Amino acid sequence: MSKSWWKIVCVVLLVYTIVAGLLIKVPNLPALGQTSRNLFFHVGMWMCMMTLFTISAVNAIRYLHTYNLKYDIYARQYATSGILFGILGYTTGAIWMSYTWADPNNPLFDSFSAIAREPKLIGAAIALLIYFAYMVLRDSINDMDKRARISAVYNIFAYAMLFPAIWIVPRILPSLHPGQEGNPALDFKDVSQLMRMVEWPAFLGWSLLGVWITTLKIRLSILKERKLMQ
Amino acid sequence: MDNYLENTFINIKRTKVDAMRKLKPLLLMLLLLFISGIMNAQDGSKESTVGEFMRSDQRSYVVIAVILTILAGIVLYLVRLGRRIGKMEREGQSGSRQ
Repeated sequence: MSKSWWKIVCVVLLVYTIVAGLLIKVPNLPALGQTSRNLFFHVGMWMCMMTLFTISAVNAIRYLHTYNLKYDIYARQYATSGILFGILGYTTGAIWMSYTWADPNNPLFDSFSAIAREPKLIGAAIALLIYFAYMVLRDSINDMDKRARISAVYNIFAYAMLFPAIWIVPRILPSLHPGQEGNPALDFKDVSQLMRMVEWPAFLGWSLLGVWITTLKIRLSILKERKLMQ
Repeated sequence: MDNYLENTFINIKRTKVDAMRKLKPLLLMLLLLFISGIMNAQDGSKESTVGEFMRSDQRSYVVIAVILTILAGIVLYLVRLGRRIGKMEREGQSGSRQ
């Protein structure tokens, strides 16, 4: 239990996120209304995904540095959890946009085609598909060392692609997402101070939850490897 | 029949069965199912303070209670999973030493 303090921090932060995130007063913005509370949950998923992919890339570099297969397992499991949280971010975003961006006055198809042009949606899809390809690439190579080396290099490329796909390009093209002029999710001068008090703990809490799940998966896959060796 | 009675008693031994272990989660689930009933049972005529609090502010606290319960379930699951993996790790280490 010596290493479990951060798990307690994670639980406390998530409880705080849920209680404060649902109770604080949020500014009543046009079309958004009360749904801006989703900043703590939907955006939290993407922040968690970014954290996990970052740790995955760092471990890929560490593998290339040391050729220790342990880091290959780390990189793989962090990428898998990152994909999980990315899919959660996508799903929650789909729910959110159905009641904010989707225009109830237009026919469903017109409304959808307007949203499908949203560059951040396409960018996030590209980023996730690149990571899906990472999994496919890994599992198609049988030799352990070759697999670890090739997938570590690919992992770094995939991480590099994340930035244009979900951070840069959606800011250049006309987008429904906020953030055309700066970075509203990280630097909120235009939205209430109160929300920022919940936002950062929320991001940290979700990221820690992702790390927690991944450490369990890592330990399990190391056990599996050890059993194969015996 | 009576002749065998003595022997039958000898053969029966009280052993701990797995039934209780299997029943435990079921009992816990039943407790959780009825917990709201238990909380409301204290006061029939007058509203209890818990109920009063939960019904205030357009009953939004109910949603928070639900989400927190889900979170608690997930966290408990993760903690138990971690313990089980830790046990497996210790078993694997002692196995490899032999």
